Amino acid sequence: MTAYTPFRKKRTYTLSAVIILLALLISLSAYRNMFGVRSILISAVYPFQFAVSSLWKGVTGIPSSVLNLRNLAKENAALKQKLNLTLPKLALQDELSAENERLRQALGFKYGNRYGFNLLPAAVIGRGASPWYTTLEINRGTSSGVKMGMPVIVKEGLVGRVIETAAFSSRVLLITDPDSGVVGADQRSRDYGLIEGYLPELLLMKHVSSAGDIRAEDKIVTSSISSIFPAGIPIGTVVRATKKEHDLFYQIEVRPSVKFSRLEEVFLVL
Amino acid sequence: MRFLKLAAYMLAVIILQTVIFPRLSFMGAYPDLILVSVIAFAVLAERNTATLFSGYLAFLQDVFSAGIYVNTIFKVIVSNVVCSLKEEFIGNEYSLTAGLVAALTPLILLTQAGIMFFFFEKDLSWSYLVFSLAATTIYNLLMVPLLFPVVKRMIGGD
Repeated sequence: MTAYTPFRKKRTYTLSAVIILLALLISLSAYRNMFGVRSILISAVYPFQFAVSSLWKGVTGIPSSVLNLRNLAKENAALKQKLNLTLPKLALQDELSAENERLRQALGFKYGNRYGFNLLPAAVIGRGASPWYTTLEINRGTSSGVKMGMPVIVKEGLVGRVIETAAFSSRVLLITDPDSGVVGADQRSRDYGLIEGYLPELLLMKHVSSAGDIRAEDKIVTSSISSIFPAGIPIGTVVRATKKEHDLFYQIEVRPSVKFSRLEEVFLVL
Repeated sequence: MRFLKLAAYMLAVIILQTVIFPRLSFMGAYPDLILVSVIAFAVLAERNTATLFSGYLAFLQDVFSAGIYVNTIFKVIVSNVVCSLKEEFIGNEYSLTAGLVAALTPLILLTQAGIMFFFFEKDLSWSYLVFSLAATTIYNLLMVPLLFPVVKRMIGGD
């Protein structure tokens, strides 16, 4: 083992103190992005992350692709049949949507075209490097028009929102993160509350008045009160809703409708 | 040459940590390669170099995460603690690294959880925390035989 002189030790302690002090200062300041240094570093590492992520998906996808070869023809026929049944339904839905829009405008609704958002597909290339924040990294950034706060969804429901953007990638805070807050509403009773994350993959619905009516198995969707998320996106299902006699609020646990550990593709709501 | 080796190692660790290991996670728990690297580096390298290495690597970990720079602070402290402990230790460097990984992983996670809970008011499931402490410690111990020889070769190649 190397012997250290007191001078060398002192120098290291000073260096450590400087690093810790700088980290503390940056953490507590409004300049966590360090004038773009974070974005530059993220953009510099992005090509490697993207390459490794694509390689990983390719390699892990080979066994299932080979096994599925036999079923492909059968699946193709079934999908074509499903598509033939779905297309007329979609056309009808477009009609209904347009009619609904006309009626909403006729009734003087301020926010017309509630569901007229565009979706931008994105691939998940990585996850947050720290266990205390559940984040995803996606392969779309400011160059694709991604902005802070944009909602991220999949067909099963709400995933989260964009909290950091770089040129070619963005970071998404999942709704299961304790720092995340979404206004959710019970689809049946329309009672609403604040949905917060509860690690690892559970949600808590808070501030729902005990005078409300929430039951297990109720579906929770994004509320029209939210200014960030479009209304009606599925969030999850109530697992447990309890209230004691003198409690002001319910205690509600919600199971998210999205399986976050298996996410590979998501959609940004533009 | 050494700088290039260190930069390549840091890049590889960050990519493994953000791209590969989350996909192999068990109920949300996966190894902290950065912590294992910092401990191995502190055991094997000179004190000043170890502090700088831990600072850079943990800073990258925080860049590829969200929120505050808590990993930078913790890993620089860990590096200093390990450097002080190794001066008193007589024995095999590999055993010291494994022992410190086993002891420090739960300690750091618990302290960080305390900070998140008391200062940042994060709701934490305590049963999940206990599971996470155990799972991450086991994962980290499994990483020691893989990372220790790499770090040793990198430092030995001065």
